[in-house]
Amino acid sequence: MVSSRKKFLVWWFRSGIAIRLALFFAVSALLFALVYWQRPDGEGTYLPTNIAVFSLVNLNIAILFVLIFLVGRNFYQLIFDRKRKILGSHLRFRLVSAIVGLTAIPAVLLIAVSSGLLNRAIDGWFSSPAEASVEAAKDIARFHFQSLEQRTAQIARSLSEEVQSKQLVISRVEDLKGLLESRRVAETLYAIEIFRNKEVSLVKVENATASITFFSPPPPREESFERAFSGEAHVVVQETPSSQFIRAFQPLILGKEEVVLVVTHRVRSEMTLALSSIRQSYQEYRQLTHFKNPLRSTYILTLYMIAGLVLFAAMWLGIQIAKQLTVPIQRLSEGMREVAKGNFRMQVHHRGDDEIAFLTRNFNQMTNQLRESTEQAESRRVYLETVLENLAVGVIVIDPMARISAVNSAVLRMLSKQRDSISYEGALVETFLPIQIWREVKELLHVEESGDDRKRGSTSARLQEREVVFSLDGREKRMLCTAGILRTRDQNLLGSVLLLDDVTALSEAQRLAAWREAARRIAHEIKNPLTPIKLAAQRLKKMFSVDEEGGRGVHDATTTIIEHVDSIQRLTDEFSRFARMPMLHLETTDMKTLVQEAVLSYIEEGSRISFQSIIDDDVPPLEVDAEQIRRLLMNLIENAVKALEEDVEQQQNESPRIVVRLSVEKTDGEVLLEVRDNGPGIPDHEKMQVFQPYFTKRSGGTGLGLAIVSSIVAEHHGDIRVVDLNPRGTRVIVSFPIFGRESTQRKLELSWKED
Amino acid sequence: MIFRQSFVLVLGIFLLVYPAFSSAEEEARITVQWSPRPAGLSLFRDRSFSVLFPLSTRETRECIDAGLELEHRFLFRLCRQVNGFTTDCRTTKRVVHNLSYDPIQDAYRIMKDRLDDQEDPTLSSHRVFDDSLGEASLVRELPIWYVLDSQEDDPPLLGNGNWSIGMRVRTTCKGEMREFLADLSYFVSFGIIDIYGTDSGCEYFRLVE
Repeated sequence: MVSSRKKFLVWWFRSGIAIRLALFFAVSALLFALVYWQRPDGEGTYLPTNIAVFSLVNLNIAILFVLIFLVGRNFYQLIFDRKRKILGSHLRFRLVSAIVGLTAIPAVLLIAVSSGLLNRAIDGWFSSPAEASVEAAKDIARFHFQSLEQRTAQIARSLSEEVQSKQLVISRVEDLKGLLESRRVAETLYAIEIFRNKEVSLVKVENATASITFFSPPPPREESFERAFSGEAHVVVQETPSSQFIRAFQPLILGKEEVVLVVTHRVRSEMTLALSSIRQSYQEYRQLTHFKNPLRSTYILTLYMIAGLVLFAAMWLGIQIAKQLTVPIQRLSEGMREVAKGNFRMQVHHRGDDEIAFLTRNFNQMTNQLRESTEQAESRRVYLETVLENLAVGVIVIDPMARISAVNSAVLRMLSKQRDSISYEGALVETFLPIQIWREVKELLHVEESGDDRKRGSTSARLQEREVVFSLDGREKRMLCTAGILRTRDQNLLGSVLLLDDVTALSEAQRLAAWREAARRIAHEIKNPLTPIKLAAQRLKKMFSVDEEGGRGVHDATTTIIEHVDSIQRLTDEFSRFARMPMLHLETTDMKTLVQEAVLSYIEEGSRISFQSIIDDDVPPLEVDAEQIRRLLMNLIENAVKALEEDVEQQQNESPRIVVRLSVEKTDGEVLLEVRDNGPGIPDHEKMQVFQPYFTKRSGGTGLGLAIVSSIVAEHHGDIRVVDLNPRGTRVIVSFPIFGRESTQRKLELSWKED
Repeated sequence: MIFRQSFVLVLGIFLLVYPAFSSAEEEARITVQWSPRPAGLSLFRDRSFSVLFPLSTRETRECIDAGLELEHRFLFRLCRQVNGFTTDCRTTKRVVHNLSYDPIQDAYRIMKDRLDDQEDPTLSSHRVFDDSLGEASLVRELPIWYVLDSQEDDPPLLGNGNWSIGMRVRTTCKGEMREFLADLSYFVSFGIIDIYGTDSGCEYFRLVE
């Protein structure tokens, strides 16, 4: 399950710029509203405490620092990536620098100019003439107002003196009133009043509008009365929403009573308005003066913050634009790296309809085509390799430096090498091939190099053949070597190819066939005259008896003739048998029985030669011609017997022994038939010749026995070899494939093994 | 990684150090003086109290000299502690003292107004700054019934002792220019430039016999 946080992050990074901007503005508006709500305002239901404001300030500072951090981090990341030469970092750096430069330079210029203009404008507000005029207006208003206060106080003072000088008393209220009224009218006062105490008014004269509450002044304040009754003459100003009243309090002794004379002067409405206007203007001017620097700072700070935001926005925009370019390019680059490594399934995904998307689509097409081509080439290669591996002919591909490029298993089998063909790749051909083959092959290759084919410009040279005879594992081998030069159409040398075909068996078969034909003809030609010769001799023998003169001589002569004719007949019979090898009658035969029978037939009492048979129990029945196998066994054992008899006569061997062993080699799928003797052995140079017809070292031998054995083995698609025993003796090993004719291919794959 | 760590370190130091550089002026406390209970007075609501929350001389002078008006707003709220977590409070009542300088009269004018009654505000002038400062800081003889929701209401105080008056004083320097400037300064500076004034915080004074 993907966590919700991860889902959000995936959605956030996949969402477009429009959504992010919308979210950004929404959050900003929310924050703005929160700040506005937090602002102390009148009787808001929420009254933020100092802690809340302090926290908000710190939060704002933190946000400011985060902004600075983000800008700094982005900038640092750009530089760092560029230094590390990360793909796309140069482009990103240039784009961001360009966009930031394009926005920053005008923004900085604008700020510089705006700051200058702003400073000038603000300073202009507070120029000397402006300040002087404001101050002068204020002074004039103040002077006028003070004049009014002084006049009112003067009036109160003069009135109290007048009252005292006239020795008016409280009881003469009418007199007092008349005086006060006359003075009130003369001085255009609002009201004149005499108080006994703060609550009791003795005399009062006032303006006619005093009865209208809207125009009536507020009652004098207690503290004013306290001051006045304590003897302090003073002036106070009292206001109503509509008017200003100047009140002069003058202590007075009326009769013997201490009273307070209160003179009230109402400032004219026009004057009040004018004074209010001046007051307001002055206050505003003072406010402006007070906030000049904070105002200046605020405006400049605003400019800087806007510039900062613009810079950040420009940087962010630059990064986003750069990312839109560099991220797909990076993906393409990674894709190319993967393709270079051999991963042709690599696909790059990019949404959009721009040039990058076009490039990406082309890249994907290219990788698909590459993959298909590679797969086709691979399947062709596998096909060719399979064909090569299954060829019965050995193939060696050689590069121009005479090193092996490729070799198939047929070559390894023919040359009795280990099966891992890869381990021979790169090895020198000279070290790989037997020396006899290399000598011939080298000549072939040299012939090709200097041949006319190169001049003719053919793509491949004419193939040259040569048969090579060499010895391998004590056996004579015949190999048909075919070499060819490989060239491109441009006549560049690719190397050469060497084909090896083991024609040993074929050659032997051809030789045997030739021998048989010769034997058949000779036997046929010789046999015919033998009968009449023998008959004639017999007749002569009968014609002359031994007692007659000369009869003994004729008798001996004819006897000799007849014996030799018989001998020649036996020889021709052998020839005939060799020539006319019967057709094979294959049937499932128990080899164990054949071996036992053969060995038993030679065991006789008094024989100095001991016989032993060793037969494995798991030897399977084979598809063989039983008669031929018997003949084979007889010939092999007979050979061994003859060799041991000679050995005994020469007193070379005191315990002659013949062992016949039948075993199965499951790994190679063969049944091995061995005839061992501890006779004199066969010299190495004769091991190859013993299976050839008419090769014999015994007097009276026909030389056909082992040739017949070899022929029988070949008919059964087996193999035969002669190996020396240690310390003395001979092993003749015959191998039969377990699966008979149907898997003759397996015979080619068998490896030679020795115990 | 180093960049991020350095930034966090700097920010942390700033946040730790910032309070030390913020205003270290000791905050004033609200002082309440209960008027003695007149003989024969049976209802608590007829009693009165005076509240003093001294204004800062420096800040007041700055505000007044700048041609602005200083508003000293007293907030009162009668509350009863129901349990350890909840309180039962009445409506907040307000008394506002506005102190300003009249350049024409060359005097400091104080307008006192109880916002939640029908009476007109009272005006007074003082030639001496300190006198005006003292006068503006003091609410004289405020009757308890003013704090109640209605004049007939009388809280069951006797024998209960859970009633108290919550008081709060906010001082704001106001002016025609000020609101716009203050708003602008406040928003743009993320609250760093704050000329809205001070707030005493709420203090509770138990009503006692």
